[in-house]
Amino acid sequence: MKYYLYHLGTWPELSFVAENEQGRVVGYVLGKINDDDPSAAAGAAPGKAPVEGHITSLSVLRSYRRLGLAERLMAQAQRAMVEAYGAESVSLHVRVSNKAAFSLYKNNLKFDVKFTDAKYYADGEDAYAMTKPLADLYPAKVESLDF
Amino acid sequence: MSITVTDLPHKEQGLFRSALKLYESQQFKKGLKTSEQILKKFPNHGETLAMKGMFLAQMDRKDEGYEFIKRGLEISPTSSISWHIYGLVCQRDKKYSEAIRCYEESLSADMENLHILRELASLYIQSRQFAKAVEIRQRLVKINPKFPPFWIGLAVAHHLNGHPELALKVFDAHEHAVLGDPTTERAQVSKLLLYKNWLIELTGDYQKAIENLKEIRPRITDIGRWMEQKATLLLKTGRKEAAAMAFQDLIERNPENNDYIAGYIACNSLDIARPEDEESVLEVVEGLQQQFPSSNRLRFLPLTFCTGDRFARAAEVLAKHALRKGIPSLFSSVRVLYADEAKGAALGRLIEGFAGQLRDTNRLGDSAEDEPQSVLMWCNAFLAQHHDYYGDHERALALIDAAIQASPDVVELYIFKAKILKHAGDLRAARDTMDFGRQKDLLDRYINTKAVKYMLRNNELVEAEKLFLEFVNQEAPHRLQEIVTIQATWYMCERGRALRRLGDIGRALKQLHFAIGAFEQYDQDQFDFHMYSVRKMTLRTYVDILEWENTIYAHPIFGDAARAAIECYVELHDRRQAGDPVRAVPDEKDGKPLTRNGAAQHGQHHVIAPSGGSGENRVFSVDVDPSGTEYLNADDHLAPALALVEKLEAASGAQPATHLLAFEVHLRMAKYFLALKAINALRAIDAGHLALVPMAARLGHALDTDAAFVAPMKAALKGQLAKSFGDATVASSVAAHPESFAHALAGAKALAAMGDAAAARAMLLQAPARAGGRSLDGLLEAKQALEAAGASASELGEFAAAAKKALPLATCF
Repeated sequence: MKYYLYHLGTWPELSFVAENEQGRVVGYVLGKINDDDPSAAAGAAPGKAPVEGHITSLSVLRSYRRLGLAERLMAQAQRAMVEAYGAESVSLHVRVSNKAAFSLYKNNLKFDVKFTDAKYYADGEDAYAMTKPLADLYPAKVESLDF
Repeated sequence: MSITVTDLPHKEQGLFRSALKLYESQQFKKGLKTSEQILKKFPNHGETLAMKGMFLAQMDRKDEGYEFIKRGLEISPTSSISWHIYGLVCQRDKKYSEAIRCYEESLSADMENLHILRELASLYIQSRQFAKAVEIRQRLVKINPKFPPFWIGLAVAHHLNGHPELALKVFDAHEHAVLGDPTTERAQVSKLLLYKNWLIELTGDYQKAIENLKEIRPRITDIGRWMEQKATLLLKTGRKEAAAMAFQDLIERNPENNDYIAGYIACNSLDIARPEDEESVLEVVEGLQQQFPSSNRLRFLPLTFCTGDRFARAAEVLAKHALRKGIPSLFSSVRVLYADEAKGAALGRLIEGFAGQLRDTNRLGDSAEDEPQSVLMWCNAFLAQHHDYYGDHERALALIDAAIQASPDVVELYIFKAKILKHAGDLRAARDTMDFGRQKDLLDRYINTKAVKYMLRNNELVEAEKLFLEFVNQEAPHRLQEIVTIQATWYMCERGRALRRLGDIGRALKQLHFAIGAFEQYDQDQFDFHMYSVRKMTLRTYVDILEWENTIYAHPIFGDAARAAIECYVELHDRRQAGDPVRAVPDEKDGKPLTRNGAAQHGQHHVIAPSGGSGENRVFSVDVDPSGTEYLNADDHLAPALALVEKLEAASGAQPATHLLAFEVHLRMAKYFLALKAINALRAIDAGHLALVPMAARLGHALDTDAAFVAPMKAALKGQLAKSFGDATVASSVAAHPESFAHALAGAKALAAMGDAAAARAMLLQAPARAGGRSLDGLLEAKQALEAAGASASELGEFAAAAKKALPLATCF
């Protein structure tokens, strides 16, 4: 649980839940900003290194599929990554065996495989490391302040 | 006179300081040696004794550690260092109120100790003593007004203490240091400004908040939150037209958000809950639907407030969409509407009609196109769940089998079918069906979870665990321990309940306490955020987290686990009173180990919760008591039950079950006034609750048979009971509800508790013929009560036949 609280308490804009008609959570996306950039740690000027968002976890209950919830959750998280943190891209990992999720990321959400992360998972399975550029996807709107 | 740390010679002072450093760098063994080196020369140096205790406590020698700390405090009772150490150890053991007391003592000798002040402020917030947190954080700001976490922390403390206006004053005095500093990250500036805007809103000055909102816009990066704030404030100042536009912008960002849609409707001066607004609200919602045709929420919303023809039209649109797309959640989405009988019936008629059209013409309504086969299949799947809802299991099974025959590879159908079988009382077939579905998609965690749950419901511990572990980290150092670590509360709770049904109360209580412990851990999880969120400036989220934490014990799984544990304790108590104490169930030695690295054999758990620390520092202890004898042999079974009752009363006071259990525990403790309080609390929720008369009868009976209880109090209590219940008896209450199964069950259990086993048995044997409130769980409970009341084999056979008449498909009687 603390892991979830940590995401919320650090990047509150980047996580969303989907609820069913009774208000039960049936899906969620957990997002963060990658902060393991070595150049940032070495004391490079802040804001220089490109900011990358990361999807830590995305999940929808099996019985609530085909409603487009995963796409909608991802869209909300991606937009917030751009607006709140100026992210230029978003990355994620997916099990090579998880065909359904891979197809969702590749075909519906337009992610590309960057490389295969060998033995990424604790049980020894490889992961596809996927990314997607976010530039120009959510152009800033000039809002009228006349209200 | 005691020696204080300054009284030590130069060399020992150095040692003392280096020991403290070793503590900070977590080198406990070395630190222990260093403190012992000092004690060799000065065996009665209080602060060093306390320090030695601190190291021991870190090294899994807790009791010894506390001994040393207390000895140290006896020698130097005013030492700030010793109290500080005591506080640290208590805090580490989550004894927050003790830690507070220690830090307060420590502060009286060392008023400006930053570490203690910060920890103390966190502890006050943790225990919701906000006024005291304000006081401490004021002292921190005085010590260092330039350090942002101090003044931001003070502002939040004021806010939590109910004074947003004081929080704003703190902002005014200090905000420039952060907001005017170009190195502050943009996202943090944005969060701080939005938090401040929220504070202005909370003071009630909405106009000022709007002005502020415009002013801060260029520095805001959390656009979504800013727009929400704009819409909310405009609505609050009554500027509905502008607010409607703001909500419209929000819906464009996220057309699935209920709050945005509700806000938009409110801007139209309409109330979704007001029947006379029905037509106008529908017009507004349909307007939005045209703009956002993909929104699931907008498609569903009219079903919640429309009636009659309008309901039927909206239902048709929703159902056609879902059936054509093959959305498996259609029934569970509309299930909430079945509370309204007319809506449930209308939905049944609608889908029945679709199925008929499809069978005749392969088309839906006036559509010119043939529908694919799958649409009829989903109609049948819906209707199966529909009839299951009304208890017609046979019809439900026929329909779901038709659907499965049409599409044998759709996994969801097996989930539906298993659920119907469960409701019908065939737990074995339910479990088999779910497992069959699971095998069609071995990579899916959801159906794996379902299969595990159904196995546990069927009391199959070994098989369930084997399956569950397939989705538990294979590389974890101890895979059974891992179940506790990942806080799989549903699993621990279900397993505990299965163990209880199997009569293994010791292991049941162990499992249930693992589940309960996870919630206590959630409660403790907030501790780090008292400082972390202030540093990160994620203050709105922080306040949300604290509010969420206030509600965690109201979670249904906590309730299930706590209630089951209380029932276990009551059973332990009763059996001991009856001279037939519950015994531990020994390990089965012939089973093969389930895992290569766990010490599990044949589904037995040899695990206890980590004793503390996290990550790599986590200490795994060997479970010396796998069968839970510590629970069985405890001197007092009611005290731990009472502790859980109090938690339920605080979190779930609106639930009848809370007061039923409170009554059971209080009555056994001979706390008759509290037992009456439980009765009255239940009456306040539901004056006609079927358990009330049986409870009153039992309390009266207990008063009559307790010779030790003083007469005037007895008279007072009996007077109260007479006033509320007159001369109602268990028999009269059951007779007054001749169709109610639930009344008969509650009545019979009360009769048994009052020692009239024969009458209880007679009542239980007649109960299955009554239909009102009859359920599988109730029938199983009745069977159990019958066994407990000493039923003969022929009586049990008679009951099984009667239960079978009620649930013909059931196999569990």
